[in-house]
Amino acid sequence: MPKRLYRSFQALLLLGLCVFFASKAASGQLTYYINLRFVPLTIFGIILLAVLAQTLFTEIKRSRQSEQEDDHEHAPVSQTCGSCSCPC
Amino acid sequence: MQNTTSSPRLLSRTSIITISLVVLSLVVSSMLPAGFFALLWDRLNVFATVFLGIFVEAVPYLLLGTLASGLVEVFLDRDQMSRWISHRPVAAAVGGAFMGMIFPVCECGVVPLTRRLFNKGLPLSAGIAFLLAAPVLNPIVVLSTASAFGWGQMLLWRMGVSLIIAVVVGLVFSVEQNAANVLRPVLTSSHDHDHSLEANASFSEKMRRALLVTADEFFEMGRYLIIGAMLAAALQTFVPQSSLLAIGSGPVTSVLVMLALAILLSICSTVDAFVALGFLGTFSFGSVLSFLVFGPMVDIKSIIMYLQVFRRRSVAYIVAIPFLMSLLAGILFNYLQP
Amino acid sequence: MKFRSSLDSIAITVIAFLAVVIGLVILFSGQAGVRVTAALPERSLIGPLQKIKLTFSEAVDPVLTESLFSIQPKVDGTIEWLDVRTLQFVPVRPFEWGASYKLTLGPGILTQNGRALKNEQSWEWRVRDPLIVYLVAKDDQSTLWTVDMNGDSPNRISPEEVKIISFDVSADGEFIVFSSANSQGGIDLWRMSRTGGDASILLNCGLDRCTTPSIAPNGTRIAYSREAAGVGPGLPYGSPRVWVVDLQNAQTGPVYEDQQVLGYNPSWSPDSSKLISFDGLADQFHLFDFSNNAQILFPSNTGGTVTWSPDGTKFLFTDIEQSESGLVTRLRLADLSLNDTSTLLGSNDDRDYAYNSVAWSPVEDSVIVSLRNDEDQPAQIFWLFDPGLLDGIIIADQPGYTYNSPRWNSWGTALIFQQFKLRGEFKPEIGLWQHGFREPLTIAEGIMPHWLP
Repeated sequence: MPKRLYRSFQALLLLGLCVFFASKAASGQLTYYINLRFVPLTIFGIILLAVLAQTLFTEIKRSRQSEQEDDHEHAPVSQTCGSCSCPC
Repeated sequence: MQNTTSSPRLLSRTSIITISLVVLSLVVSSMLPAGFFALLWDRLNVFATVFLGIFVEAVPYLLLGTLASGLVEVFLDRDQMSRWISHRPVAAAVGGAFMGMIFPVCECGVVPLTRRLFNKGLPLSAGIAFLLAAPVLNPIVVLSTASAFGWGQMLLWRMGVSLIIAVVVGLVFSVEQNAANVLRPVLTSSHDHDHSLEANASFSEKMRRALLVTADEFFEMGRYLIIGAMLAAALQTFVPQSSLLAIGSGPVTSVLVMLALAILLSICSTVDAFVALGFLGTFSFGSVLSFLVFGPMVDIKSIIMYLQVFRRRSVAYIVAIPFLMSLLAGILFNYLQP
Repeated sequence: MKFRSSLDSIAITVIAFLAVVIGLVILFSGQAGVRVTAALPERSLIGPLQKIKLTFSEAVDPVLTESLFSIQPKVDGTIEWLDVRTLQFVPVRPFEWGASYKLTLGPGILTQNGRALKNEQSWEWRVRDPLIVYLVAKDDQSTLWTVDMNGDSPNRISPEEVKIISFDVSADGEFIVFSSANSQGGIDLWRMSRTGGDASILLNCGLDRCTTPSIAPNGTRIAYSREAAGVGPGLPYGSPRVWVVDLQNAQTGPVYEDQQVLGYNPSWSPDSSKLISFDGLADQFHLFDFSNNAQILFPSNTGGTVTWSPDGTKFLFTDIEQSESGLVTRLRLADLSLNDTSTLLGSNDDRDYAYNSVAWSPVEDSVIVSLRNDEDQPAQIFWLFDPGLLDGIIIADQPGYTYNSPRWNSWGTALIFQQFKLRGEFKPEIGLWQHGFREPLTIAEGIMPHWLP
C-alpha cells in the first residue's frame, strides 16, 4: 500500500478513536466502563490521539508537497486499520 | 479447480450456498427455545460492554507505552544503552527489573517499549525482566495498590514477589546468546525505515519522528490489544466468574482460580488492585497476592502481544515460569499466613 | 530428552524444579489444617448492624463449626451459611456503640473428614462513630456531604460534576446509592462507598427516570421508582412504578407485572422480606412479600410516609380523611397479622394536628411524629410518644422553627431531622436530638439527612 494512503487511513482512524473517546467522555458514558478516578488519564489519551492524528495529517501534507513517495510496504490496511476500527 | 467450460447455471454457487444457509438458519431458529435470541442479544450486549471496558481502560496506557517507545527510538541510541545497562546476566536482569520503576506503563504499553529497547541493544535478560516487572513496579501501580490496600504487606509482597519472578525469568533467558532464538525475525533484522534521523536534527523534528513512531506502534500493538480484549470479553461473557469462584476453595485451588481469573479478566495492572480488593473477603491473602503478581505479567491480551515480539517457545517460558512461581508464592502464603 | 538450546534446557529445568517444589509444598503442608479469614473493614471499625463474614479455606461442617464459634460480649444474632465455606454472623440487634467485640473460633475438628483448625483464632472490632450524610444543593451543584455528630469535619464525598437527586444509605453504612440525571434526560442509579471517591453507575436507566432508591436492610436489593420515558420525544413520562435491582447480579425488573399497579417511595420491612409502596391511582398501599410472592393491599387516601415497627409486623403512615369539619390528617396503624388498618392518632382530635412525618424507633415502641401544635401557626413540632400508651413528650419546638423528616439512629438513641426557620432567608438546616438533650442541636446546612452508621 502506498505510504500516503496508509498514513491517511491511520490519521482518520486516530481521529475516529479520538472522537469516540471524546464523545464517551462528554456524554458521561466513560464511567460505564471505567472508574471515575481514571477519567483524567483517558482525557490525556484523547489529547494524545488528537496530537497523533494532527502529526499524521501534517506528515501527509509534507509528503504531498515534497512528492517523495516512499512505497515501502506496511502491513495490509485490513489488518491494522481494520482491526483498530473495531471499537468505533 | 474452476471448470471454465461448464454450462451456464441459473444460480451461482455462492447464491446456492447463501440460500441454503438462510433456509438452514430459519429451520434451526424455529427449533430453538423461545427467548433464545433475546438471551443471545443480552449476552452480546454484555460482551460489547466488557470488551469496551477493557479497551477503554487499556488504550491510554498503550498510548503511554507507544509514546515512550517513540521517544526511546528517537532520543536514545545504542551507545547510550550499552553504557547504562550492564551485560553481566545477574546485573542486567536486576537492572532491567528496576528499570520498570521509571516507566509508567502497564502490560499493554510495556510490550512495544520493550521491543524498542531490544532494537536499541538492550540485553535479553534485562528486557525480559523489564517486561515482567514494569507493569507492577511502575509508580502508578504502586500508588494504586497502596490506595487499595494501604502501604502495608500486600504492596510490599506484590512488589517483592514480582521483582523475584522478573529477575528469575530474566536470568533464565540470559543463557541464550543468540537473540534470534528468542525474538521474532522482524526484531532481529533492521527495521529502521524512515525513522532514522540526521544527528543534527532539531528537537521539533525529533518529536515529529517520535510521534510517527508512536502512531505506527500504536496501530501495530493496538490490533493485538483488540484481539486480546475480544477474547477476554468473550470468555468473561460465556464463562461466568461465578462458576470459577464456586470451585475456588482450598489453599491450592483458590490460587489456581485466582490465576485463571487474572488471565481471564485481563485487567490493566494500574487498576487491578481495586478489583483484587473485592476478592479479599472471599479469597485468602495468598490467592489475592498471586492474582496481583501474575495478572500484570500474563493475561490474554498480553499473550497475544508477546507473540508478536517473541518466538512461541519463548512466550511459553514467559508464561509458564511466572505462572508456577506465582502459584508457589500463593500456596506458600496460604499455608504460612492464616 | 533433547533440548534445542541451552535456554530450553535451563527453562525446562526451572519449570520442572518449580513443579516438584509445588508438589512437595502441597504434600507436606496438608498437615497445616483448615484456615479461616474474616472480612472486616479497615482498622476493624464496623457499623452497628454490619455482618461478620468468615471464609474457610475448604468446605466445613456447619454444626461442628458453629460449636466452636463465640462472640464476647454476647450479642443477639444468627449464623447464616452463604456457601459450604462461608459463614456470616448477622446481628439481630445493633452492636453497642463504642464497645469492643471479640469473635473467637476455638481449635477443633471442622470437616466431616476430620480436618481441624489447629490453633484458636480470634478477631476484634469496635463500632465506629456514626456520621450524618446529607445533600447540599447550591451553585448549580448537588453533592453529598458527611459530618460528625458534633457538626464538625464536614466532608464532600460525591463528585462535584454529579448532581444528586435522591439517595439512601445501606443499613451497615458501607455504601450509598443515589440517583443522578444522565445526558439522555433520564435518571440513573449510582453506587458509592461510605468514604466516596469511587462513585460508579449501578443502573443505567437510559431515557427512563429511576429515583428514590431504597436499600433493603440486608443489603442485597434496591427498590426504586421508575418512570418510563414517553413513547416519543417531548411526550410525557409514564407514571412511577416500583422496580427492584438485585445487587448480586445487577438484574432489574418491576415488582408488579401488572402495569396498572403504580408506586413510589418504596420502603422495606426490617427483615427485607416485604416491600411497601403507594399506588396513587388506586389509593392504596401495595405490600409485596418476597418470601411467598403474596400481595396485600391497605387503603390510604394520600400514602404518606411509612415507618415500620422494629419486629416488622406493623407499620405506621399518615393519611388524610374527610370529616364533618373538612379534611383532617390521621396517623394510621397497619397490622400485618390482621391485614387491617386502624387510626392511632387523630380519631378523637378536636382539631386537625396536621400529622406529617413519622419514624418508629428501630429498637423499641417509641414513635416520633411531626405535628402542628398551635392551630394558628404553620410550624410543626416533634412529639415523641409510646404507640401503646399514646403518651409522650415534645422534643423540638423552638419558636420560629418547623421540623420534619426524622430518622432514628441504629440504637434508637438519637434523631436527625430537617429543620427550617419560618422567617428570613430560606436556609434548610439539619438538626440532631439525643436522649438527655433539652433541645436539638443544629449540625449542618443541607437537606435529606440520613445516618451513615
